[in-house]
Amino acid sequence: MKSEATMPQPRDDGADLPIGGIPRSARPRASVSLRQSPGASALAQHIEMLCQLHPHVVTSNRRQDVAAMDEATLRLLLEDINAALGIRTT
Amino acid sequence: MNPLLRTQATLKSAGGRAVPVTFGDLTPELARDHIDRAWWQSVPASGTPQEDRDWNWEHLTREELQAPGTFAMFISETLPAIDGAMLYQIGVASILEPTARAAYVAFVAVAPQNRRSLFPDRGLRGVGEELLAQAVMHAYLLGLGGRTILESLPAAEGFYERLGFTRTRQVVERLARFELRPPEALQLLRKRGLIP
Repeated sequence: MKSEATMPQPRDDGADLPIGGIPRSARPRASVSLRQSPGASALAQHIEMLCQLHPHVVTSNRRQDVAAMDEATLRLLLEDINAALGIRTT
Repeated sequence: MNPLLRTQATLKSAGGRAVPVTFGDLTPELARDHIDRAWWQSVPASGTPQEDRDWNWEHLTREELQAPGTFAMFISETLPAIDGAMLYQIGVASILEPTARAAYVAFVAVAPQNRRSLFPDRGLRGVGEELLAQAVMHAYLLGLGGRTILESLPAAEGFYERLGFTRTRQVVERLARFELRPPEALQLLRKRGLIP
């Protein structure tokens, strides 16, 4: 099938154009169903998602109930997970 | 909104002025009041056809947020007005590396007043790109290497390629599907100063 991309395109940086409208059945399949704990802090929910996406990563504290951890413990756990996964932020 | 994503950025106006903007969680109510009831009010339907003119963001946001791992975000110069919106899902299967996971950008739209095609001399520039960078950053912060998938309208393909997206072999609803791989994602995030 000839792609429309091979046809001449108007000069447009594309940044203004919308994305969307693909039926759910035609979208990339979800390979994990991410559970989120309602009521948990946003940081706890982020760490829960990290743990679900990377079940093989072993760090201290990760077997505990993340939703019940205080902010300081959550920060330490996040540092451990980020270090294990090579995630660096400015 | 994810607490590790930035909540502020600076864009440029059509006239080149620096404009601070804020990111926030898009709710169905905000979508109804500040997108569906606001965006197209003063834009004549007879002008350049706009693919998304009939989208109902309240409905879209409500529906999409039911799927696990889905996020809804807006960008705003002056709250509560909304300058752009995005719905994306974390945890879909990568196309280029099937054992890996990615973010999937399901919907993005820039407010009509910020579209160069409608208003060449006014509005904000780079709204859509700024939103996309947030999805890429979220995919990075969740250990997915910034992998991000989207479908592009034909006229926007060059734009995504310039951002580093790779065209996959998949074509859906006549739209080519693109994926941003980790090397290009990291390059994009570094260029924006989001990662060292």
